[in-house]
Amino acid sequence: MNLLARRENEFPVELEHTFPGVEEFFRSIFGSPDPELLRRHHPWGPVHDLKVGEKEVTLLFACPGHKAEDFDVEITGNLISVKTCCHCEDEHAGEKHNYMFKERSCMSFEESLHLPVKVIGAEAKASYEHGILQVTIPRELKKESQPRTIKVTCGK
Amino acid sequence: MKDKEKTEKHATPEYVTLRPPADVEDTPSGVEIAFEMPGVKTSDIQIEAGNGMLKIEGKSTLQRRGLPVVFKRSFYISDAVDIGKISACAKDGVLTLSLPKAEHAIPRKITVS
Repeated sequence: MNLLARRENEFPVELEHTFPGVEEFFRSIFGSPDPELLRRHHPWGPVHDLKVGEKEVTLLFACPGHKAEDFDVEITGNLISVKTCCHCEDEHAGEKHNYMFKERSCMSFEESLHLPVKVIGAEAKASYEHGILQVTIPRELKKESQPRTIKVTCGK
Repeated sequence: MKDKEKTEKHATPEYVTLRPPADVEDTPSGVEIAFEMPGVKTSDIQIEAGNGMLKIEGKSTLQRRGLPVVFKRSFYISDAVDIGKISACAKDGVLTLSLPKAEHAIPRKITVS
């Protein structure tokens, strides 16, 4: 039996294939897992925050140990894709490390998110500081119609 | 007294404490520890070493459940570490500490004549 499981799934894929409905059964008893708890147990994914303001949308990705030039940010309509390549292995190729323990994982990742509001992708700005990638995109605001004054005339 | 304890227990937390992942590497000159602390400015990092303990704390600009995130972690350190020569460097959300070995802990090669 394969003991490896996909990170996104709480149950091993093989288990779900062998016993169909086992995931639904456990969910009916214990409920859905807390996403915050899952994130704590799966620390390798980039932690992100999404703030929707009145005028702009701000996305924060916590990815320490990268460089600004490593990031590729693409916005298509309301879909934002963030991609980064990790060059740690290339930089330290040939070096021998004597780790007592290693908890950090420097790896490439690609993440796409659907934004809940319409945005102007052409005016987006991105910056990387203190290990946090911040993407700010202005919202596409609806043009408010000008108030019209209608003169009331006396009907004959 | 009991009431006071109760209120202290149920007091609203002012921040969310997270344990930053760390790499500990044994080098010929000492030990290097790298902590992942995204969103922590250099001025917001506190490092204490003494009484056999190394404590690090950093206030991040990140938020969890509407509260600011504080990274905290501590390690036991032996007498083999020269506390006076510990140095730290923060870059791109990674805090790197260098803990050099004390002179008495550095292995010396003795040539046999």
